[in-house]
Amino acid sequence: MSDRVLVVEDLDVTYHVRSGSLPALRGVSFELRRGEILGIVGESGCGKSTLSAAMLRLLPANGEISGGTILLGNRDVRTMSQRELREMRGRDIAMIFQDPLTSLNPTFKVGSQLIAAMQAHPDVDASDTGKLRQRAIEMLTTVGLPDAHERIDYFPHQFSGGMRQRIMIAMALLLKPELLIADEATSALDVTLQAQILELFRELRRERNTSMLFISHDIGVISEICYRLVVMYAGRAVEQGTVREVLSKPRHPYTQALLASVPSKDRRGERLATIPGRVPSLSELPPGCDFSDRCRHVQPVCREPGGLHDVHTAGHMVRCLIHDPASTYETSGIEREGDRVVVGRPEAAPEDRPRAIGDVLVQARDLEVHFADRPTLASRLMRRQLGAVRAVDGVDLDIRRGEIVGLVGESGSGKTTLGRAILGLERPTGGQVSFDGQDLTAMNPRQLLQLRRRMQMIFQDAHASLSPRRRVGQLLTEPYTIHRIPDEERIAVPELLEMVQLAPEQATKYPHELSGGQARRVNIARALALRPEFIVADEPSAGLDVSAAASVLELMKDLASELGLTYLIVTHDLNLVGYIADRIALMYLGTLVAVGPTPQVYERPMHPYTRSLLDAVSTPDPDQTTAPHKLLLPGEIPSPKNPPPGCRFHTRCRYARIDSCLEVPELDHTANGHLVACHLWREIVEDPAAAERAASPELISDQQEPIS
Amino acid sequence: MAQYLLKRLGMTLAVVLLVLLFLAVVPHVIPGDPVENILGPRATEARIEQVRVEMGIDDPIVTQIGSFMWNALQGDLGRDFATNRPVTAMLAQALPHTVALAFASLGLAVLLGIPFGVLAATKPDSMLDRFTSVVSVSFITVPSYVMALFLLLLFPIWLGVLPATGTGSLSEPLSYLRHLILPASALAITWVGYFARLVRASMLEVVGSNYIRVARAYGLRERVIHYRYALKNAVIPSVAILGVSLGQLLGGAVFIELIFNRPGLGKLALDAIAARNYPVLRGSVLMVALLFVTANLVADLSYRFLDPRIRVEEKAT
Repeated sequence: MSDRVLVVEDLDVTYHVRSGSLPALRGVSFELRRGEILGIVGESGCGKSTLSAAMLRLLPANGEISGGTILLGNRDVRTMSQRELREMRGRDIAMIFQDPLTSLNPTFKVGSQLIAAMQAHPDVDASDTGKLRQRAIEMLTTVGLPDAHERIDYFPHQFSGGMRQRIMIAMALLLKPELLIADEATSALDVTLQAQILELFRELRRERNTSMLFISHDIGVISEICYRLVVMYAGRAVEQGTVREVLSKPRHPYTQALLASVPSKDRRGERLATIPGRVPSLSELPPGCDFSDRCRHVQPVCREPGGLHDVHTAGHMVRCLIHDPASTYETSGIEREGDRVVVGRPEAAPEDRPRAIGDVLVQARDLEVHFADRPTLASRLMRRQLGAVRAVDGVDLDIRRGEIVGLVGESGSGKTTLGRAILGLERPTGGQVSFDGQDLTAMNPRQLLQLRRRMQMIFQDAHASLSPRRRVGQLLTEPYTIHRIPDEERIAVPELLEMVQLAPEQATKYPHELSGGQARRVNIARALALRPEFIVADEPSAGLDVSAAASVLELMKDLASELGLTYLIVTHDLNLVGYIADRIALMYLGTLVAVGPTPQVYERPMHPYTRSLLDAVSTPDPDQTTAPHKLLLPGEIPSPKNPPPGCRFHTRCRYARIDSCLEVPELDHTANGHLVACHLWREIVEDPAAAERAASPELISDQQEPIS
Repeated sequence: MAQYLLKRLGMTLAVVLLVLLFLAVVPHVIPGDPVENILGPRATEARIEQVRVEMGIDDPIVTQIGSFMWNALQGDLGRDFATNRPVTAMLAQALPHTVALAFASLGLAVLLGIPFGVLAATKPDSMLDRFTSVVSVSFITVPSYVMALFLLLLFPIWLGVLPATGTGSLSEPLSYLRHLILPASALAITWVGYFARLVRASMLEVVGSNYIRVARAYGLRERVIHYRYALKNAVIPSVAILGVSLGQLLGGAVFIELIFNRPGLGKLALDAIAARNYPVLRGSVLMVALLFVTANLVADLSYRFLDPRIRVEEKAT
């Protein structure tokens, strides 16, 4: 009994709105044992965050737990008084939220916030602040904050995002809670930071036997850290079981589609599954199975209300008529494995059409974009040396006609600036960019405008880059007005919409009426309007649900082969580039550290940074689960204002040596067009262990400058 | 911080110099002879000539402007045409009354407006919120001179409490304060409404933010969350407009001083305009400008003190 930390049974949550009641959660049941990490996965709108809020009874004012029980040990959270609730929060269940940048109060020092969280609980001696402070310092040290005794008096904005998330974790651990809830706790972080935080969670579980509810839309991350998982859809748990079971033999058609829509390097050339339609709105749930409208195995019986219930077999739960022996679902056409029905992967789609790759279209030579601090009167008077942010610092890159190049790096690596500079949206401070043989850096604004018809950008935030007061139709013709294109050369709005697989009715909608995926498509259509040859896409799948992201990627691929487009895809998502890009360029602190054909770079990573990044990637692979990262990168990317001398990566590189790495490395040709900027790549490829033994440990600095 | 202070002080000085320049030029750009303007059409030739010499009006304009500014910077603002008293002495006499009035109203506006706003924000859309919102909007719309007349009617005339006009004597603080209550309230009322609206809006924004949700999730008391965590963030925008509001209050003080017959800067300026007494006018306008820039400087600095993000940004540059 004491083994079960949390038992949730038949939980219903209802939101009361003007038009009636919305069932946000319906009959959700699961249990969590001591020391277990349970994953909750699902797309947005499936009730994940409602679930985590319900555990703490922190639902918004119009939300109500309308049925079921939440047993914490042997106490029911549902019947707790306000006072008991307050004491329970933070002490028994502690929560870590998604956005570390806004989770801490900006006007109080982190130390005082940690201490206040402890003082809120009656079993803590609130008067002894010296002792509480000491406890806070110890906890900050535990979660990996260097110089905690000093930094406890910093304000939140003086820390980077990764550090702030560590501080949040420290806050969560201060009162030794039985249960941690991590609500998308690593989603806002870069892969390397995500790997660090996941490692920290794993350590906590090992050393403190902490139980965790790990909520995420990223099935890769879930599969890496959790032992069991619950798949949510439209407010219900539709499948539940061990990660190994669910990932290797997914049974619910939704889980299968979800898994088949995750891009990764192993799926190159395959098409990703896309789920038609959207998660149904809570006010318009279909009768019968919630997934029936999007399911490719749907039969009339699925749409009848009442027939559906959870089917349990040996610890694996699935809520689907196909797997229910008592139902009248006709399974004769469906494959069987022993006595079990196998639904199989979503339809195998045709292979990618081959694309022709031609001559060099875009060329960057020694490209440099430095952002100087604006000189102030005072700085002039004091004759101070001004620092410059070296966002892009000497980049050579060729992009061939018809090619898809992935530009990858952590945030702060300068990848977006490079993308913008290549389009002439950012004035380079040095070097040059040419497009189809014409030097962009020598052009005046009018010539640049002329040329820009042939190269377009898809910006990162799809909604924010559409004017909220214009209809989609107007947004799509805007490029024509800007470039004064005569009517006969324009592509009609319905045709543009069709190119991005949107219905012609969408032309009359305003941006806020569009879903994330639709807004992204409108952005793509806007970019296509001028019939460009080259498109820079900044994080094309960011902020989209897995299935929406998959369909955007498929669309981009199709357009590339139909229209012969050339792409530069700027992203931090290694799964995405591994799947879609022909070549990949890896950026670190304003310089390229590795460039090469994607298969080569992924199969034989040579640069230490590439090796660590690829090691940090989470993919939903049932056999790789809970394997710790071996090549975890220490610390965070240094400030581009003051990059380390020599090889910029040496402060985080496990192989760095004092005798060679303080020199700037050139991009060196290895095999098969794979270029690597590292002095030691030969030794590392030959014998990584020996190369690591030969390293000079004093070069690695764990010290991180506060961002200021 | 020191560097920022230096920069801000430099800017303040620049503003003051510009105001001085403007004041120096004004008598010369008004059409007609400045002396005739000053003395009016019925002045005798001899008197005009005398004043011309006194004012140095026959010197080249640039010299005049220069000498006015130079003298002003040394603290010499000339003499009153009518009484021949040094303008600085008159300002010194009037200043305390205006300062007392402006700060008393500002204090009232802050002390009433902020709790009002917080109260409204604790239960949005409740009866209490609706009530405070109606009250604050009506406060904003009532001009200070209308409120002044109303207050005059209500308290001294109908109820027979509180003095109607004058300032009382500074040597009797209690009586001085009693004289201050009505004018300060009349002047403050608009700003009570403004602060209430502003604080309510920023409070609601802050209460919806992530860190407040985090504070709840860690069992902090609602009282602590509201009055410690949220309020500190919510007053930042209000502090930013404190400087502006003080300027507005000084402007409004002109009416109020007239109505309540208080010998402050506003009344001094008004009388000087009526009498075309340029030195006094210059002096009082300069004084108001000085008060205004000082208030803005103080508001800016306290803003920085409240919001650590801005503090460090400055450190970095």
